[in-house]
Amino acid sequence: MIDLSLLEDFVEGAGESLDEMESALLELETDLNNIELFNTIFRAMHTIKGAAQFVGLDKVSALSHVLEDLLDVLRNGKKQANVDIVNLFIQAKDRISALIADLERSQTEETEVDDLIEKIKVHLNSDAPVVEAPVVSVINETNAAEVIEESSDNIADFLTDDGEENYQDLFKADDNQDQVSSFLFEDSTESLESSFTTNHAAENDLASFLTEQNPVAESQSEEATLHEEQVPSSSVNTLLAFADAEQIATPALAKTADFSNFVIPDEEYDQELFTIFISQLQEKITLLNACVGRLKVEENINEILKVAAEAIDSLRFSANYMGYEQLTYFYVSWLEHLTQVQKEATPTFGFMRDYLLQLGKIFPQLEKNTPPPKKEIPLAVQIERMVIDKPAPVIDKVSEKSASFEAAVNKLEAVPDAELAFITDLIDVQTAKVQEPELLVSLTEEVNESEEKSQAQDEDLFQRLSYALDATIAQTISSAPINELFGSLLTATKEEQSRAKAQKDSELALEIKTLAQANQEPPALVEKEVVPKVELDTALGQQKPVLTVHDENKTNLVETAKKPKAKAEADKVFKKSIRVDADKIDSLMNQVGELIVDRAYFFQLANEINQLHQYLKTATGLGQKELKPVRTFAYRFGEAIISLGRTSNELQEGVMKIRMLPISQIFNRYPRLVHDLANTKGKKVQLEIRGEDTELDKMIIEEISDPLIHMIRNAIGHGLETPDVRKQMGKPEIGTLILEAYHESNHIVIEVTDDGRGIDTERIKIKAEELNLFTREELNRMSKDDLTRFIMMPGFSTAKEIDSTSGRGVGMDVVKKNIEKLNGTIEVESKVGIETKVRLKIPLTLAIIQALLVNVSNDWFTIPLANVEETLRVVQDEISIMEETEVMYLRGKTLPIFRLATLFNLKSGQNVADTEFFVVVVNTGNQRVGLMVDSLIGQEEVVIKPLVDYLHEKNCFSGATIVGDGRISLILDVYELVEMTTNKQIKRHEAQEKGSLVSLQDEM
Amino acid sequence: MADRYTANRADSAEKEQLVQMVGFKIGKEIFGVDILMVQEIIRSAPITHVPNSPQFVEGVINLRGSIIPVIDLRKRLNLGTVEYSKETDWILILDIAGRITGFIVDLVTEVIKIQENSIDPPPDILVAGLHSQYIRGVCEVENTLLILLDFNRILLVDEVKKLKSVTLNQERGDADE
Repeated sequence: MIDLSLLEDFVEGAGESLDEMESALLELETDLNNIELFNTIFRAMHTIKGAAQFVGLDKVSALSHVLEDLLDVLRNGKKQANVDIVNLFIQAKDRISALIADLERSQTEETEVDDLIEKIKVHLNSDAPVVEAPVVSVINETNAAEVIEESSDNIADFLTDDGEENYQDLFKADDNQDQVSSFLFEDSTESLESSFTTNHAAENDLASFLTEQNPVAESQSEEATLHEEQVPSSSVNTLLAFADAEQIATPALAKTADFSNFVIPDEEYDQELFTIFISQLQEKITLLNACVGRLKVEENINEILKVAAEAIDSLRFSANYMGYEQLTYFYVSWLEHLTQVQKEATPTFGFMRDYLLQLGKIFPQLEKNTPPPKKEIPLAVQIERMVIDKPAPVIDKVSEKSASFEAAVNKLEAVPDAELAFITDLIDVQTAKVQEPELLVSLTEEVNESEEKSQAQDEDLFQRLSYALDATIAQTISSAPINELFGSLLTATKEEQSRAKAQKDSELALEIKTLAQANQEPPALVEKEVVPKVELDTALGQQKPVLTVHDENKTNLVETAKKPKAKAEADKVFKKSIRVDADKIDSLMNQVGELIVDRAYFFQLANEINQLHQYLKTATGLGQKELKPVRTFAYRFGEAIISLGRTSNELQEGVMKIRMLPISQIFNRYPRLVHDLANTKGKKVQLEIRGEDTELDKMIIEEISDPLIHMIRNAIGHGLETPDVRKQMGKPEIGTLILEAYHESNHIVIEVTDDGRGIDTERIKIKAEELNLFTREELNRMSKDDLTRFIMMPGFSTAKEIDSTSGRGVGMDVVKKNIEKLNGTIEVESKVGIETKVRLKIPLTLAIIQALLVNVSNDWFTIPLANVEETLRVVQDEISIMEETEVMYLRGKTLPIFRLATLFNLKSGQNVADTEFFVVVVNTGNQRVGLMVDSLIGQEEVVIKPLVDYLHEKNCFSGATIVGDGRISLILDVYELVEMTTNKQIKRHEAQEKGSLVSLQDEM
Repeated sequence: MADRYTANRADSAEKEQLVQMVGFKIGKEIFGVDILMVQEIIRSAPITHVPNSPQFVEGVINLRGSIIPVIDLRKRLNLGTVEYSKETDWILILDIAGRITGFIVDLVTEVIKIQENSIDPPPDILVAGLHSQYIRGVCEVENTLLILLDFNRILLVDEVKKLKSVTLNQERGDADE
């Protein structure tokens, strides 16, 4: 039952909520009595649960539900929060994360949650008081509105999807219901039948007409007509049967009797919320009734039970939110009952009816369709207000409808005039009355009020009356004469509305009379018009969209109204942000990239014009005067280009900023990690986060998340000492871990610093020797930096033993790989016994880079400036050959030099005899090499364009770019290039060794 | 009713059977490629050579801002190397399952309409020194043989990679020696 289309949104939304929850949990650990934190967690939990139920995720919603229970107990002070409970919450949070990960991967919930639910329940039950006087919870109203919105969406969806089925089954169920309720209407069957015949023709038209309008309605109405032909009376009976079912007492009722004395607390909530709640309740009950009906006739009860369980669950959910604890428990016991019965070999579902009945008693207003008596503003009026407040969507709907009506008319041209007239009538009704929903609403209102009034007298009669009225609405569609009646009702309503509410009571009595007159002999009419009840359903079906719109509007309104109150200070950024498909931004980015290429071209043109000017001056001997226009043009052209450059720069920055997110996005994940690691390692760590507002490309944020985790693990696992050791060393017991981000020109620098034991080069030497990487002498000759670099080698770890978090020597290797992928560099600085600092330097964005253009045998190559350390002009004498590699000494260090032309099998444009070369010194973080090029062209901002995979892989090129004049320049992948050169060296080494071996053997 | 429907279908199917091919020449042979695959045909553009790439990859071109690899079809199909003059080259830009790729051919001739059913499967023997795996079918047009190439196969990624690694290894081997 998982709705896959919604899954993506769920995963994203839930992730945010979980993050929020986690940070609150961590805070909670230090501040166990902070109610605000509980509320934050509750909010997050609730959002997840609501969304999960909406999408149909059983496990997530089950888990979050028990969590909410526990939270509620904690928040109400019935139970004191402790570290165990917080840890339980953290576990649960992880479990939900795992479930979400499952969902992302396989669209199913794989991870088990039952054990955890049990644990939570143990915590829950360890404290006695469960059901007390309903406690009004202080839940964030925004959440509630969202939740309710979701639920109503859910229902709407459900109704549209399953509407046809439900109706079908409803009718099937009729037959069974007959015996129960037919006695009530035995005498009326005859009159019904007669009225049916008269209505029949009109109905057929209606059916075909609805076909045009609404595919769902089509099947419904067809179904309706069909059934009416067969069992006109039974369908009527069913509709009343549910109401009458109350009278059928069963033994099971005793079980639920406890709940009969519910008190719905006085409304401290918004009336709006309550009305939404009630309307949801109503819809769900209708649904459940339908389910009960289906249960009797259908083979595959599991499906139906699932639907029923879902409906109950969502009811429970909304009741829970409203703070109706007893009601919530009522639903819970209902659900439990349901699952229990489901397991039985021969399930009976009598209890379903009982529960429904019970529910009816709890909410008397349900039956009568009225809001609770204490209401100041009745539901109907509110809806009406909504209509007035938000007329646009309604009008749209109505005009949409009338359009489809018109289409229907066109279709029906062949139909006799009389019928055509009736349809046009209808259109008139629909189009003229934009207030039509109002009209319906006021009608319902009237019914409600009249019912309320007469409750004392004869409930049954008024129930019928209400059906009659409902039927009237339906009749409006099916026959013209009733329109008049409708009209009279309308005027009556308007009158009623125009009068003050103070006079309401007296008015009501009058209204009822008018109503009674209009309907003439209510009972008889009921019988006559109950048949169209079926039509009413279809009619209501049509109305549904409009009503849904109301609901949405309403919830929106509620949301906007509550927002300022709700979370005033927090998450301003969230509210202002929008989600955009990353592809759209990428394509925008590409466009800007093109613009930058064009800009570079213009610059070049400007240069050419200047050259032309010079040329004209020297070659043609034209004087200053003659050349003046050229000079002014060149000048103005230059001006224009500068302006273009400025604008495009701003545009580029703007677009890049769209992709920028504050690094707090990932930094905020780490307190949890630090907390867990410190706990498992038995260390005390204080995490300091600095510069979390620093922004960088979202893609990069995602990419550096993993490396950072490794670095933090290293810092806590290897770097920081245990409290005892720290004490001995005279350091503060609590270690400090600093996570810092800041900008440095076009780069972002992220530093992870710990004040732990530092990197001991001696240990590295020992390990390197153990692994036979180098001999002791070689190691002794190595610089400290070189030695430190060993930690980034795969499989290299100085840890003495492997534990759950570290010691396999993978971490820093992963870091290195990931950072290199981003064209970034890693530096490790360490002072033994004092601190270790790992510094990542990463370009701000992946799409546009600063680069150095070089020329090798007339091909232009691009070297990312991030990798370029310096450029040198070298004379031949400075270069010596060492182990077949050209090297030079640069400030006391040897620097291997590679000729790009040789590496790329190109013919260098240089003469061997040349004694001066250009060398670009590139740095990969671990290694510096010099690349010899023919000439330097200049520094430019280039847009990276991907190369096809077969050109990109293992090729030393990370992409290509288009330079000013349209030619292509390949972008060097410095890391791969350096790796390739070292590989070559290694191979050569091996070959040499082999060679010497062979020669040795030869000698022997 | 149903019969009439199928009959109708058959009719339209017959009409659809006419396929249009873009004919081009490499050496003396005429080849064809489905016109729907052809994105555009350009006369030679400046090609930037990509070092360390497979031998048949001539390089990349800048096609209005996108960088597109260009494959020398003659080399790719081992049709013998002929020193061609850059000026007379044509580049067929094909969309092969989303991968836009340029192919250098000697000459693009004309659009040829042929009946789908007149296409014969590739013969077992070598056609024009070409392995049958690259041939989708052959078809006789005006007494000459039109060879329909299977570009999907020609651009099969694995194969391209394999070929590349072979060339690379050779180079590396050379370098080692």
